[in-house]
Amino acid sequence: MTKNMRDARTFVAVQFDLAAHEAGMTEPTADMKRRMAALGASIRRREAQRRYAENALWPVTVLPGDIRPEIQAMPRAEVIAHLNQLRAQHPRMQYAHRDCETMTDDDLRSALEDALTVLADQK
Amino acid sequence: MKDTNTAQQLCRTAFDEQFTDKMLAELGTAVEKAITKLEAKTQWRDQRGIDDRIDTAVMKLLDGTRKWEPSRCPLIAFLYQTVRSDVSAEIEHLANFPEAPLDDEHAQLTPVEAATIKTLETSRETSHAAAASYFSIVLADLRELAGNDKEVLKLLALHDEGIFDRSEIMARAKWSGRRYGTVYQRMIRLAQQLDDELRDSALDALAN
Repeated sequence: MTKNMRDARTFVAVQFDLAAHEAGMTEPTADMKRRMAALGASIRRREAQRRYAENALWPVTVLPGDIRPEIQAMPRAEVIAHLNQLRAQHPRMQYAHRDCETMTDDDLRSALEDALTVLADQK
Repeated sequence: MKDTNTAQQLCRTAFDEQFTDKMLAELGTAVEKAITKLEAKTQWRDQRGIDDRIDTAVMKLLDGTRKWEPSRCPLIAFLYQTVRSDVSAEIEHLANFPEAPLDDEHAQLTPVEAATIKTLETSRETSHAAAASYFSIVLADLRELAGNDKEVLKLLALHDEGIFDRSEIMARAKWSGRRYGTVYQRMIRLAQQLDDELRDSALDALAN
C-alpha cells in the first residue's frame, strides 16, 4: 500500500463521513424514494427466488404423522402447558402457530409430537 | 418447526427487519452526497450510478462476499461502508497511477499516432500525480486544522492504517462510544471548514 493509496483512502473516508453527516439532516427526495423502492423490490424478488431455490435443494424433513399414545391421551390443557414449557426452554424454536388457544386438539397434539421429535433428533 | 439459532438465519432475520424502503432512501441520499462531493473534488467520475452501487453492496452481503455482523453494525452503516470501500478502490487506483504499458501496440502505430498517444499518456500521468498530490495536501490541511487535537489526529492515523469500522476504532483507541462520538463530530467540523476554506488553496497549490 503506497502513501498515495493511503491518502486516497483516508480522503474518501472523510468525504463519506461528511456526506453521511449532511445526509442525516436531509429528507430523501421523492425521486430517490421512488428509485430506492424499485431497487428494494427488485432485490427482495431476487432474494426470494434464491431462498426458494435453496429450500428446493435442501428440503425440509417431513415428519411422520404418528402421534405417540401418551400425547394422544393428554387432555388439551396439559398439551398446551407442555408446549408452553418447551417454548420457554427453547426460545428460538419457531412454531407454525403462536396462539395455541385457537388450535384444534389434533393440531395441538401434532405440534407437541413434532416439537419433541425435533428436540430428540437434535440430541 | 425448526431451531433458528444459526448465524446465517440470525443474519437473514436482521436483514429482513432492516431492509426497508426508508433505509434504502436514506442510504441512497448519503451515497449520492458522497459521490457528488468526490466528483466535485477529484477527477474521478462515477461510471456506475447509485442504484448499481447499492445493489452490488447488497448482493455482496447476500452471497457472503462481505460478512455482516448485525450485532456490531446496523445494515445501513454496513452497506454504506461497502459502497465506500468500492469507491475507495477506484480512487486509490486513480491516485496510484501506473497504467499498463502499450509498447506492443505502439510498434504498429504511425509516428503521428504514437506521438498523440504519448501526449495523452503524459497528460494522464500528470493528472494522476495531481490527484495524489491533492489528497496529500487536503489531508495535511486537515491535520493542520486539527492542531493539537490528538484524538482527531489519532482518528485520521487509524484511517491511514485502513481502520474505518467504528467498533474497531474504539477498541484500538480505547475510546468509549461517547468519546468516539465527540471526536468524530470534531473531525466533521474540521472537515467542513476544510470544505469551505482550504479546498481552493489546495487546488491553487497544485496549479503552481
